[in-house]
Amino acid sequence: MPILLNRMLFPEQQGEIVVHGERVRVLPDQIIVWVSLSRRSLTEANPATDPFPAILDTGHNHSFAITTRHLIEWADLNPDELATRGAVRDRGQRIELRQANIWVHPNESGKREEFALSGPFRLKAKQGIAVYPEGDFPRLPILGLRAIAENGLVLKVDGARREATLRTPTRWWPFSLSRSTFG
Amino acid sequence: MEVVEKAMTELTPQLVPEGIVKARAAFLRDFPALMADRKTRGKYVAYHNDKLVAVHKDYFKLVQKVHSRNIPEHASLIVEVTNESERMEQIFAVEGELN
Repeated sequence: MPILLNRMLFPEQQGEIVVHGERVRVLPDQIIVWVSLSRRSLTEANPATDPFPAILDTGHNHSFAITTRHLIEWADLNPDELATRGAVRDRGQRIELRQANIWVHPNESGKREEFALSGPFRLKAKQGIAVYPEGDFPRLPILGLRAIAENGLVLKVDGARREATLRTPTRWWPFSLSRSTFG
Repeated sequence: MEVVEKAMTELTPQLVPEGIVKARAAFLRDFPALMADRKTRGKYVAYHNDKLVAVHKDYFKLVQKVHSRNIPEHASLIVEVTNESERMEQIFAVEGELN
């Protein structure tokens, strides 16, 4: 059962992280997910690309949103490398939906900026990722609720501990159950 | 407002590849039949331009199937045969509001 977010902290205080040499503010009560992006046809994440932070936002109703600048500078992708799947309008702007895979890089348990040894986990973005032109939105890339739903993930937020856990669903194996019961 | 809408319409053919536009139109055309057929309902379908070329229950396996046939990404569309997908593709077809 892969764990994508392992007790990721979302503290009350504002924080700061460095992404590709750029200092980025993380506001209070924001859950960070470390991600990378690739072309839709690739079956492995690009090992040469460092993960970058996205905000896990259950109020966002698309899979993933990112500005063109972050796509180029953080994801290390030229927008033209990702085929345009369509377009929509949001906040008065025309937003391109580009075909891509999202890779979630699991964190070390309880640590915000350290990665686990397990490799990244691929998420499908069936309707593409939303690439916004330059502007104020999104300030940081967003992993939306649609990505969690489409990939059948389980999100647990522990308010008292200020931790979030994101994992794949538990699978039941009748064979192993029967072995432990009768074997 | 009319000027803005006209400008967006004029931009559409340049930004969404023709193959994708054709594939989406074909999916929307075929959708009632795809939903009615147990072999395709709830599965993923791949269109190359206006032709249905593959069906699979697993999204990533279908992506690989399409890729292995050298079908270019800018001329193919993979869609799940569900009412929600059809609703979304209708929005994308007219470049409607995301929300």
